[in-house]
Amino acid sequence: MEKLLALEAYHLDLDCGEKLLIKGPIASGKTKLLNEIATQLPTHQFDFLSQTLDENFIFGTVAENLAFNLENDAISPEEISNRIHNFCKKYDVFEDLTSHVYDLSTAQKQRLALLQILIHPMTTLVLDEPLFLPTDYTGTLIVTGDFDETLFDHVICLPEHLTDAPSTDTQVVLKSDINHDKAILSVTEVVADVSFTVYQGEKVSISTTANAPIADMIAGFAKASGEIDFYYENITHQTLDKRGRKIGYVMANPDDMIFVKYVKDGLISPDILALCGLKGLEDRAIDTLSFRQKKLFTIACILMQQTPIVLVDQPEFAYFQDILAYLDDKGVTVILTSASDLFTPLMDRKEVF
Amino acid sequence: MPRQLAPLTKFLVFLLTTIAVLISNDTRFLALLAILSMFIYLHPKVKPYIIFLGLISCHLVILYLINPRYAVALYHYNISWIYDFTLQDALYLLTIMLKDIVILNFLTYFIISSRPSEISASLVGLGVPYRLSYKIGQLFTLVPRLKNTDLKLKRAATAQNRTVSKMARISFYLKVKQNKTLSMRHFGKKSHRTWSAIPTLSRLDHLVLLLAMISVIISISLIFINGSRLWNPFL
Repeated sequence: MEKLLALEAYHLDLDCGEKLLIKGPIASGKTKLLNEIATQLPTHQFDFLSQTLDENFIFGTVAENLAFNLENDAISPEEISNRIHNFCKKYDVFEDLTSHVYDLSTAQKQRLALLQILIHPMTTLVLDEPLFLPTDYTGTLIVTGDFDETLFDHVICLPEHLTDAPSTDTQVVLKSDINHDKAILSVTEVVADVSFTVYQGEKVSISTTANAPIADMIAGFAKASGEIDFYYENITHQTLDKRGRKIGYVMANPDDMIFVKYVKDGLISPDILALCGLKGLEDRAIDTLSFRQKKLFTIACILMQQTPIVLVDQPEFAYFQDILAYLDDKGVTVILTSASDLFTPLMDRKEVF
Repeated sequence: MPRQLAPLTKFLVFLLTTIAVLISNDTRFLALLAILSMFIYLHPKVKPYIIFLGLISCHLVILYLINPRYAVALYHYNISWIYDFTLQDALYLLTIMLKDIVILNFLTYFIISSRPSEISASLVGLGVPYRLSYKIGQLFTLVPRLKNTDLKLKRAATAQNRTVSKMARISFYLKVKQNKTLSMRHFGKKSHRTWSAIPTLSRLDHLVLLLAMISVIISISLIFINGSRLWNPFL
């Protein structure tokens, strides 16, 4: 087989058609390595999925984004519309091809970012934390993320850089002080058939198959049709600043909610910085942080708000147990929206819609 | 709602009518075109912009101030109307105003009712290199892009009970860049590129194009009918 790539530092030769997985703990340089690999590959011979979600899209509709790679390969317009039609049928998505990318929920964006590559893949795919693994793809695959190692020909495990590792082994004991008489948040039919009640101090994980951005709706970022009550007070139409004092919302895409330049500009107390694994990074620019560190930074910002409810959309597992223990200690209600089962054992309850 | 015209048609209508109004100075013909151009406001997305009023009045005032006697010299006639302001001045400025209206109306129609990718596709249809066409099309996404970023920023800040300084906002906007994305998605891979946004021209498109061409022909023939580019009712 033809050799595609030589990674001398890892004593690895990658042949065409082989599959490589890059693993490593938080901020261990997975994305950096992936970018280095990308510079060594011949241009326009590979597709790249960036973890910075918005970098994957051109400004336009879903259809325009799906067509973009095909157009650049000079495929005829009829063929393009055929392919998009068949592709959408196969993956059963995007009823509305004319909606704008920027109006999609983060989950939909993650899906589109991968699908717009898979509609017309090159011979090599370089994917930084894709939503799922393209199993029927036969070309060379270079992936980071939490996938089954047995599916790959090679695995690179990057070493730990941080001194204080998150406590992943030791199970933290939560006191789970739940007051079942006080419903802190009742959500009624924000989307058809999505209703639930969360009691004060409870930790609930919510998973939905619906495309609707439930977390955005609860936080007031997206319009919801039903009713949302906070201690029996209807807050459905309350302004964002009032709602923000009740519900601290950590968005799925950290880039959507960071507007400071340096970590220290977040004015985060040292103990919360340490809790989120950002100790010693105060002088770093946000841009130099890894994706997961950015996510932790946004959590730290929200923790500083000391809201009675913390809502996390697509949480990261690193440091999560410590953060949960901290919130538990303060009696804060925690709501997660996640498709992952990793968090289920840590939570009091899981709601599936 | 009337049927949509192809973006290329809209662009050509803008181009042809602009040529027509630049050739002729016949106020009657210009008035007719200006009235026709008002039909663009039937389109749900096109609204009259107050800035156009400002632009046109600025243009007229500047023209008048540069040479207040120009119209009298042009029409070889002098009828005082309001103090020094002559009837000729009024007619001359009206002519210029009608020209401005026609050009601006059709330009707005093309830009507002076309998506940026359609604008790019239309330019390619006229033989402009595709990289340049794409860049020009992208210029029209600048405002919505900034608006989008601004909205996101404001919402995130409000929800976190924080205020964002103007400087921070500006530096945030500057982060909106796309060059990396373009090459990542193989833009510029081949010497040509297809555009799935180009619809084929319908019969309505052909009809409208024909009308636009007729306007140019009328404009040219008016030169012979009037004996010059100018229509002079005072002689």
